[in-house]
Order: sequence, then structure tokens, then C-alpha cells
Amino acid sequence: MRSGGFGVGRDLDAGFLIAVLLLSAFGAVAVYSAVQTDQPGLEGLWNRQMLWLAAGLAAMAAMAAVPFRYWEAFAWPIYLLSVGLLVLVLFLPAHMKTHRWIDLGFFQAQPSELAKLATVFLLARISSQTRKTGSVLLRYAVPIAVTAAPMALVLVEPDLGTSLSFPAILLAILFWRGTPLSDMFFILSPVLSMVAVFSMPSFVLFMLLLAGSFLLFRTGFARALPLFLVNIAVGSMAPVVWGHLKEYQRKRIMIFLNPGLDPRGSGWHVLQSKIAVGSGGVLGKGYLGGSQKKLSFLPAQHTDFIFSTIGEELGLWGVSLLLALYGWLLYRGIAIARGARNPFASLTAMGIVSLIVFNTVLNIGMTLGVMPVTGIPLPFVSYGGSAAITMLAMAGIVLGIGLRRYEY
Amino acid sequence: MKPRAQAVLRFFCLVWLVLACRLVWLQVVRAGQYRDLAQKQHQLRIGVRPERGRIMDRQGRVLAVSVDSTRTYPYRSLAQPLLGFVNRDHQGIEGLERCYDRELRGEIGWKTRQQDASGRLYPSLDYSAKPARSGCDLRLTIDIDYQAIADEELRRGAAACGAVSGTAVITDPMTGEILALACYPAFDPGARLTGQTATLLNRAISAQFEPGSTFKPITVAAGLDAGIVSAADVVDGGMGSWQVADRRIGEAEGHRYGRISVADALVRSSNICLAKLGFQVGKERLYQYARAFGFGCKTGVNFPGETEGVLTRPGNWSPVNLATISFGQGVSVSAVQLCQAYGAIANGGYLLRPRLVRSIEANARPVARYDRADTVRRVIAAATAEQIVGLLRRCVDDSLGTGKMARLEGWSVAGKTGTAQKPAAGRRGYDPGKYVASFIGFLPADAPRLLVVVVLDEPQRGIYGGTVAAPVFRNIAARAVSLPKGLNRAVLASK
Repeated sequence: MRSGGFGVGRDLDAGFLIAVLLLSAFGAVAVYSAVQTDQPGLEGLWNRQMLWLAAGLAAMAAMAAVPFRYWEAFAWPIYLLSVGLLVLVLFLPAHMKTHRWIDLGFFQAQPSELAKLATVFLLARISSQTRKTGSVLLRYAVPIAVTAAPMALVLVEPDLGTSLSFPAILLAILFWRGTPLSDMFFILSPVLSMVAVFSMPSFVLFMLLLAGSFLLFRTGFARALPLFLVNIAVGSMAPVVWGHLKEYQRKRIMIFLNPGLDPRGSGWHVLQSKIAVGSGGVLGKGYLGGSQKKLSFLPAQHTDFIFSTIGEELGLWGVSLLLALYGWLLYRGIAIARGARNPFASLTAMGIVSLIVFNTVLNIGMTLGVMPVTGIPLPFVSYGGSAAITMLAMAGIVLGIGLRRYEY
Repeated sequence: MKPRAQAVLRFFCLVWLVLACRLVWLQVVRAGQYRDLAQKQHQLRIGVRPERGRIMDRQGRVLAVSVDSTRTYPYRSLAQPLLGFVNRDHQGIEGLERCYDRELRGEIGWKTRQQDASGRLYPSLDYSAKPARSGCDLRLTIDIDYQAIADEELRRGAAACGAVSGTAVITDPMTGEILALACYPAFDPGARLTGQTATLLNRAISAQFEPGSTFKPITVAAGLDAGIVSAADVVDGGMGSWQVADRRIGEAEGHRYGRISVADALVRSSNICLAKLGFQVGKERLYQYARAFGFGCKTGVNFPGETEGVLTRPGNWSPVNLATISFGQGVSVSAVQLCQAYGAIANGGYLLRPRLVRSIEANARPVARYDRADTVRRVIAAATAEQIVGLLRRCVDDSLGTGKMARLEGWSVAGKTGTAQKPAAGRRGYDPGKYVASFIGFLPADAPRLLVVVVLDEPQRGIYGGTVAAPVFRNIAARAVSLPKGLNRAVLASK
């Protein structure tokens, strides 16, 4: 058995580190171009981003140095602290009509970033302890509750996009833990029946499917009945809740799911993003030469829609390079998760990697008009201090797990 | 753990594939459409108005020019009835500005500008543009020096006799070029707004009047040219009274002429003798000659609103009509038409189309020249023309001639007075007390270079062409010949 004493040079996952550094460099180059528009005053943002990047790299190194046992040990305190901050932020003055930020004077901190990480730690800890033993309640109900609490708090900020990260973490960790596919399906079934209920035939079909799966997986009556009742309850409640929502709330949800319904708001952003990416073509318009970006047609061109800036200026080959880097990051991340002998470490690595990739896919999907407009930044690339530091710190944790992969 | 890692990888490979497909769809398949959309958003095509061409007099002095999209007329009061004006869109809507609008206006161009999301414009070098093509310049036959003289002397003469309106035209009888074209009262561009459109009229071209005695040389020329009479033939003046059908014809100022020669009849401007001559010529032939001299037809000068005058068909002429037409009542002409007819007498028998434009120029180079005489037809034989010129000289030189006041020291002047009754408005017959006094003449009589007509409408102090219009003619001619390069330059210009 090999333990602690190995040098950093041999146990460091160089592939993961290089992927993170290249993505950060790509981001620095992209932000440099994205702040060059006909609207003066943005140019200075690049220098600040370099500062965030430096801080983020330092955070990455620091996090890599922390043994994962501390994360496991302090999973509950960290989680409770983050939930406390999420509650606190709701009572702080609103910024742009939302309660997302805590103003630290020099920095706008988003408690939801910490909450995501804390949820990863706690879910990994719970899941690693109840892996083989424990009741259904411990195995599923507690993780669901742990996920639901921060998710609900983020939802009322409101920040619909970020709140979606929490179930993504949950599913990733449950799957990585080895949860049977039937159980994964049953956990997801209330969500599916909520969607299916909006057409009666599809709801009936789904209920039949659910009953069929009980038979197929030989689910015990004691588990099948409550699950079935929950599905019926959720299915019948959903239209009632929907009916009780205010017109503007329903509209907001519809627009979230289909931005094209709001051609002057988020639909406009998506259209402009598609125009920028599409007009870039295969070869792009050249670095610093994106007209849609430069002439301010592209919204949030250095933050949420930086992928569109890259697509416009560097074309298909540029974004393919970026996608390949993310793919490499994912591949090395899974390798670290797989190689880690400690279950907590493995689950944490998987949770973090899934979170990063989930954000990446959500962001790129948004700019290409195939996913809702969520306002989630592109990991390592988008301008923004909070996101840059959090993402690099999370990458540091994964690197730290890689360094200690042989520890039990 | 291994199969789960495989599953996670496969799942995300699928997601990557979806994103890649979407990217290919946007950036390869639909790239062209999105490029068009982008271009439509940030490229703006802006029209560039061409600079309207200038209008210059024959010596190149600028009469109309566009500066900063405003049309200015440096000699506004002088040549405005001729030049006309443009509307707000720089379109010629009157006068030569309208007539030659196609040449003057040029061709509209465009340029491309970049537009940002908030509508601000930026110049861009790499976008296509088509420069506007400036309009051509128009060089007129008008000489602003002559124009100034004609304007001043017409105004002075009209004011002196209290005429309601009037016109004076100077032409070169050898080429048909119009050197000056003056109208009274002066053109008032503001009148367009108040609806008093009368002053907008270019009287010399658009207004007609009965020529009276100035028509008499046409009748004589018809008789001589057709060989029906000779200048020495004697006509009975009937001692101031002659009955034609139900109408008694008399002489002006109560003159009583006995048996006098055809030549004397013209010099003294006898109505009765000319009427008798008209009967000798016959209405068909008189009509043909009058028509050949350009009466009843547009001259073809390129100007909007030209009148063709009135010359009815001879089939409808009663004997009284024939008699009165012979001395110029019952026909009507414009001043420019009269100039054209007298031009034919002065230049040896050729009817020339009057011209206002010498050339159309682009970048100081002519693209079209109109500097050669445009002959419509030969009207009378050269010998006949010479005879008539001799008679017209006598009209001015003879002690009994009606045009004595047109005499000019040192120059041989040929010309004819005219005093016509004005047709009454809205009924048959003439308006008592309302006359049109005119004088038309040219000099030097043996090699004419300047032809001047002066027409004064409803003069109040004195009614006769010989006393009201002839002095104006003389003043114009006197100043014209004393211009530094006056007559000589006109001679040179025709070559």
C-alpha cells in the first residue's frame, strides 16, 4: 500500500491541471477581446479578471494542499454555514431586484457558490457512510432533503439557473455511489409525472410505466405503494399549483423553458447569440474582430455569453478546441474520481466534476439556443471574480484528491 | 465502479455530440443566413446626394450653384424667370432648372456605415460604397452683361410710361442664341407662396400679344418673295379710310395717305395699304408665309410653358380677317417668336431655332454642344430679305418713318414699331384704350449681330411703339454696343 510520502510530481494529475490552466488561459484571451467594444469603460475589466485569476490559482493551490479528510470532517459545519448564508442573503438589500450577492465592499460574494460545494461535501459524506448499509430513508430521503434545502433557498433569491445545479449534484453522486438504475428512475419519477400530467394520456401512460417498473424490478409493496402515491399526489397537485400561479409567474416559467416566447427579452439575447455564433462560420471573424460583439448587439458578451464571442471571432474550430478542453477536463476528472480509493474523495471528485460540466453544458446550451437562459457563467472562461475563484478552488479540491488517491 | 465511469463518459459524449451538432448547424449549415442577419443589423446603407450642377452664363459666370445643399442664385434678380428654382429635394420645378433637371441633378450614390446596437454610426473603410456623380453644368447662351442691360432698361422704360408689364429680348440673329431675356415686373419667388403666379411667368416665352405693325414686314415679304408686287408698286392709301365688308379701316394718328409705293406704305406703317397688299397676296399665301416665319408654331426653344401664339387657318378668314391680319391684328405671338421671325429677315432668310443653352459640361468639359445655328427652314430668298432690311432701315432713318426714336449715332439700325389694340377679355373685339406698344430691330443693318425686341403692355403715358418702346430699344442697343467686348465678342462667339 502506498501512502502519503510520495512526491507531488508523480501523483499530481497533470492532465487535469493542464486542462484547467489552458481553459483559464483561453478565458483570459477571450475576456480580453470581449471587453473591447464600442462602449468605453469595459477595457479595465481585463486587468481585474487577471487579478481574480491570480487569486483563483492561489485558491486552487491552497485547496489542493488541504487533505480531503478535513472536508469530510467539516462537511456538516460547512453545509450549515452555507445554508445560513443563503438565509442571510435573503434579508440583505436586493441587488438588481435579486438577493444573490453579499457585498463585501471589494467583492460581491455569492453564497450559492459555497452552497454548491458544501452540498457536494455533505452528499459525499452521507453517501459514503450509507453505501452498503442503512435504510431507504437514510439512503434517499436524507440526501434529497440535504439537496432540497439550499435549492429552495436559491430558488427564492430568485436564481432558477443556479438552483438546478443542486439536483444535478445529487443525481451525479447517487449514480456514482452505485444506486440501482431502478432507484434512480423512482427518484426521478415524481418530476417526470409532474411534466407528464399536463396531458392526460401521457400521465396515464406514465403511471402504467411506473407500475410496470415495480413489477420488473420486483419492488416490494411497502416501497411501491408510497412511491406510487407520491407520484399521483405530485401529478394531481402540479396543475393546481400551476393554476394558482400568477399570470406573470407562469409567463416567466414558460419563457425560461422557451426563450423564443419573449423576443424582446431573453429571446432577444438568444437570437443575438445565435447570430453571433452563426455569423462566425467555420473560421470566425478573427480575434478581436467580432462585429456583433464590438457593436454591442451581443448581450453580456464577456460574462454569460462569452461563448458566443468566441464562436463569432474564432469560428467552429475555436469552439471545437474549447469543447475538446472541457472534454479532456471531464475525462481526467472521471479518472481522478475512479482512481481515488477513499469513497468520500471519489464521490466528492465526481460531484465537483459533474457540477463543472453541468454548468458548462448549461451555459453553452443557452448560447446555442438549445437550453433555457439561466445566467450561469462558463466555468474558467467567463468574466467574474466569484465564479473564477470558486471554480478554480473546486478544481484544486479535485487535484488534491488526485494527489491523495491512494489514501483510504 | 468501472462500468459507472464508462456510463458517465458515454453520457457526456452524447451531450458533447448534441452540442457539436448544434454548432455545425449554426456555424456551417445556417452560417450564411446568420451572416446576412448580422450584416442587416450593423450595416446601414446611406444615400449620398449628388451635387447639383451649376448654371453659368456664356462667359462662365455662375448664375446658379449648390452650396451645402442650398441652391443659390448670385444674379437672382436678373435671370430668375429663366433659371426657375428647385424644391426642397433639389428637384428643378420651374424654368431651366426643371427643363434640364435630368442633366443638372446628377446621380445619387450611397455609402455604408456601421451601426451599433444603440444606433450610433461609425465609418467603415472596408464596406462598399458608390460615390454620387455630380450633375452636369449648364452653360447658357445668356450673357449676364446683356441681361443686366435689358433688365434695367426695360424696368426704366416700363416705369416711365406706366406699363403694366413688359418684356425685352436680345438675340443674335445669325445664330438664334438668346443673349438676354428680361421680364417686367421682376420675378418674385415669394409670389409662389402668395399665389400671385403672374410674376412667375416668363413673359418672353409664355405670354402672347397681338403684334400689330411689327407684323407688316411679313406681309410685305410675302408679296415681294412671291413676286406678286415689287417695292416700287403703287398702292392707293384711300386717304385714310377703306371699307372692307362691314368694317371701315383707318390709319393710326389719323394719317391720310394717297397713292404711295409699297415701300413707303411699310415705312409709314399704313394699315390700308397693307390690307390691300394682303388681298393681293391672298389669304392662303399670306398664311403660308406667316407660318413659315414661325407664327402659330412653337419655336422649339427648350423651355417649359412656351406658347405657340395664334394664327388661325386661312379657310376661316373673312375678308375683314385677311385685312386686319395683314397689319398684325388677329394674330398673336410671343416676344421670342417675333425675334425668330425678324431673325430670318436679318440673317438673309433662314428661320433659326432660338436657343438658351450653349453646352452641357462635366468637369469643365462639354459633353454636349449646342453652339451651332439650328436652321429650321429657309423662309424667304436672300434678295427679299435684303429688300426688307432696307425698308426697315428706312423705318428708322426716314423723316417720315415711325421708328425715328430708335436711331443710334454711328450705327445703322433696322427696325419696326408696333402699336396693337388689345383683345378684350371675355368678348369679341378690342378693349378701347388698351394697347401693346412694341419695337423690334437689329443692328448693324448690313451685318446684323444684335436683335432686340421691346414689348410694353398697356402703357399709360403714350401708346405708340415709336414713342414708348423705340427709346427703350435705343437705350438697350446703345449700352450693348458700348460694352467692352460687346458686339465684337458676339461676333467672335458665333464663329
